[in-house]
Amino acid sequence: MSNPVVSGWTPANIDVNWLLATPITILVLAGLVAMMVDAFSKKKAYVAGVALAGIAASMFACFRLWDTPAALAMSFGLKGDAATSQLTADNYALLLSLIILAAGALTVIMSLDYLKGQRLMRGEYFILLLFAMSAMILMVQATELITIFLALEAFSVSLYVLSAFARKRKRSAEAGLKYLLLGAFSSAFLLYGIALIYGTLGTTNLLEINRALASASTVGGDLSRYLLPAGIGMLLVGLGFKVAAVPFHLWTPDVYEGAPTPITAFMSVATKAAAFGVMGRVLLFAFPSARPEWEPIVVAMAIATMVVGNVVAITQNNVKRLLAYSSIAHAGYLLIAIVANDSVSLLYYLMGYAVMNIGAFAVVAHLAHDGREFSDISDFRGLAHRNPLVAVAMTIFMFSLAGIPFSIGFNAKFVLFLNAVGREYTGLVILAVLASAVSAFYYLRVVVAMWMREHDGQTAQAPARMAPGIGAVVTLCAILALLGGVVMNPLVGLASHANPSQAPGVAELPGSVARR
Amino acid sequence: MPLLSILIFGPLLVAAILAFIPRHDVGLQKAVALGGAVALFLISLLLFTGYSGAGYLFTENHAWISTSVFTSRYKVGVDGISLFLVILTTLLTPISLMASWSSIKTRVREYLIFMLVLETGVIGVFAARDMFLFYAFWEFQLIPMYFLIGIWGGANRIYATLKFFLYTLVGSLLMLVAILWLWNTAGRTFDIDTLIKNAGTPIQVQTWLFLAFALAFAIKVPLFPLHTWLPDAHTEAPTAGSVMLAGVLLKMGTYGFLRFCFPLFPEASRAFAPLFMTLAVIGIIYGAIVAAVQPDMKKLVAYSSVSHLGFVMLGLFAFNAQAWQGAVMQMVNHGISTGALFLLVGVLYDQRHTRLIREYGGVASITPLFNVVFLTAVLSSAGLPALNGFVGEFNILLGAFQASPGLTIAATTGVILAAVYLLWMFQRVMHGNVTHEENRKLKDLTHWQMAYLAPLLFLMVWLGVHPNTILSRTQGAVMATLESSRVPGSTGSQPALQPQAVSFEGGPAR
Repeated sequence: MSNPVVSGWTPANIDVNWLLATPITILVLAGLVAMMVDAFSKKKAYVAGVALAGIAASMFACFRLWDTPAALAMSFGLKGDAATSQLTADNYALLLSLIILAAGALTVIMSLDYLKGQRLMRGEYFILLLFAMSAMILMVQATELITIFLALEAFSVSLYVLSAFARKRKRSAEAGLKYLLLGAFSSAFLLYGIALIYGTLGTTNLLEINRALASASTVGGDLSRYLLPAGIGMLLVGLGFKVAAVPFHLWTPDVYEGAPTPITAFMSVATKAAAFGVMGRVLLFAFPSARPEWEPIVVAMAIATMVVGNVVAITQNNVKRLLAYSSIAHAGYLLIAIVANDSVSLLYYLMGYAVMNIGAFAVVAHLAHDGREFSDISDFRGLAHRNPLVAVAMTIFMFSLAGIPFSIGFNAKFVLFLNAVGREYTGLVILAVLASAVSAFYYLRVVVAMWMREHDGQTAQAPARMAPGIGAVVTLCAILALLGGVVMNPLVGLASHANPSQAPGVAELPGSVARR
Repeated sequence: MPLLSILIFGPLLVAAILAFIPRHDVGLQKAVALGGAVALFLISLLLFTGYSGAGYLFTENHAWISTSVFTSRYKVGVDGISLFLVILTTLLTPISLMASWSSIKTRVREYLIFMLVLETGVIGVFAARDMFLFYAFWEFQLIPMYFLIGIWGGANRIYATLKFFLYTLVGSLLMLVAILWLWNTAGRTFDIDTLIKNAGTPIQVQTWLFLAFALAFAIKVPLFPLHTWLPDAHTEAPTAGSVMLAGVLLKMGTYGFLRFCFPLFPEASRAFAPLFMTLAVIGIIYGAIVAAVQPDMKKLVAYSSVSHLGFVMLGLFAFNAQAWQGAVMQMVNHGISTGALFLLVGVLYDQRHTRLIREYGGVASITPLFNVVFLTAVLSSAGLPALNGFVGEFNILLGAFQASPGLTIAATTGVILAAVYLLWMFQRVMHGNVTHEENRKLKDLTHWQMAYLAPLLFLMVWLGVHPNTILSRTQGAVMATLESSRVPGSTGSQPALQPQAVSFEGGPAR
């Protein structure tokens, strides 16, 4: 059974469990319904309503699928051989899906107010978001490199359009174009990497790759000694681009700055969750036996990402660009979790990051009004006077992103660093804490502007009253950021319950996450 | 009754109440904050009266974080050492609030909230018995201080507060890595007692861990040459901020050495003792000389802190009971004396808006009561016998002499220099002719000001005469810490019975 012949792939031989795909199908259906609503209704809020309902239903599906036994959590494979499956609904995928869906829901809620203020209210915005989410979930559920590639392209196309959604603003149009051009380039790398891997191992199925690598005899010939590392390397280029890892980060500040703020929030959290999820699954699950090939690359990427992200962020004067570099920096910390073979920290960190980053961007969205965005640090001056509650929330997000205790950001970093030290990556951790110290400097710049400087009166001031949607998002995120700083058990518990499941017949992860 | 939890979360509760008092009702806000702080002080006295014997008392131990990655418990408790630091904190908080009663005019509610949050953070540091909890409080208390300096500070406040924050943070983060390492090698626990028991790390590793911890604590103390943030922070901080900073925040550094560095890394601590004692002595003399030439009174007091805490560091690295007793005593004394000095400088500053010594002169003839109080604080800080400062310094020097006579002799010049710079400042400010006509309008201490200075004056005299109030309670804790900081396998080198701290109530302290 180890090498299924292609002729075996007839419909009768394929084991399909559509239930496992419900989180995706619900979103697609919701997207179609939203299209209809958009066509026949003038009130665009209805479209958003459909989107929210779809997200809620998809979340419900994720909860129902939670803890599906490993043998049943595989689908679209040959009957009797789970290792040929192409889709899985293991807890790892479901938790990532939930992060993506939560990010999407918060984005929809804050978009309502933002789009109104920017006079951009159009139905396709929410529809594209739904399709982007469905593709992201497909990507984290996929156990097949071609499916991963297709999903990645599908959500990227939606995001290209969404980045340029404020098309009358030059920066937004530029963001869309830049993202498209560079994104296409990186996708090509990803595809080439997949081709090389197929050329070496004769399969694109993650579970079969794992099996093939575990029995080293399959990897034959001198050529594969070079082809496999090249393939993995190119795969990392493509994924590194999506997670904004240095040196594939150059698009990030421009796109983050130009895109409408809620879309930036969504990209920074959901794209990161999806791409890191896949990176974790591919490297830790399919290629654990090839660790010597990829570990040096990922370590180098982690170091460069932490250093460049944090150092360049210091010089930024625009909060969206600052948060873009900060998101690069956080990608660096997350790469440590990948190196340390630590899916628990990876997931927990992504959850914490989602809370504080969406909150921070929601505050930026609050400052936008009258068809313009006001996201310079100087626009934050005197915010503590005019709007103390917003300033308090933003302060919580900044301290949380900087990793100051009693915030979810500190706990996430703590768990990540603890596991990395426990697995003998102390050098990386030392670098990471020094990078965090640098990061405190630029996060504090925002705090200084809000609390210790007066507004110069030159630019228009932020509206004193908060729009209900943005207000709800900011409040929720602020409460979660603080609560997550004191209560750790539930989220870490979820994360440690969400190791990538293993199909029977697949080699154990070497040094797999300790389950104590 | 969970006394320590009340002290840790009480300030937060009061701060939460403040958040719901209308913005314009400043009087009520102040009253609630002060009332709460005074109540907490009175509660903390229960710690004092209820403390008996050695070991950790008032211990609370509850499950907190329990995950597949690590567990950490909410475990708090105080021994004879942390007891007085907690009480010092609860004492200085209401005093600081009273001192800033009328000098803080903008954003009063936020100010009060940050002061109370600071109290929570500091008490948490002194009471934590779990490494994760300790570290969280340790870093957390930076936030309120950061705002106190940054919002209500002087002209250069933003630079000063960033410097304060980043300096401390860099040190702390390296300590974090050391804590994580320790967790990994010493039984994957954060319980401090267990860590100390298991911390049999080889000396090469110990050296690095010790240095990481020591860096965090030495910046906080601050030990020469890591002290440069301190004068900036003090000059810019509002009076109450300086009182809290000098009074309790610096003690977190010396406390850290005593509580963590020595028991966890006994060999490395001893190996580095000559270096740290030398730096301490340099700090004593350097701080004193720099203080002497300061034109600004507040900066003078700030540099005197560098000098005074140099004594504490000297005593700590002498590794004997007498020096440690003196060091703990000196920590408390410094909080009282320097706190009082900052308050008194603040009294002048609030009226004349300058702290330059040359702007004053002959003030004694205008404000006689102020004169007496100021003189007492100056003499207490200079270590005059029969006032509190003497007991600490004397015991430190006696203890340190056994460890390193040469350095101790050098350190003794610091005592003389302290008298020089303090009395010289006092003379220029208070005596002579009135050189500035504006000074004739200076008001003497009001009842309100006396109300918050009186407890400090009382303690200066009381502790000078009855140092056993502190020494008898710290003794057990000091001996226990000394015992757990012993280098394993070298029992012979540490005599079981050390000379006890000298007090003036006849014989060694009991």
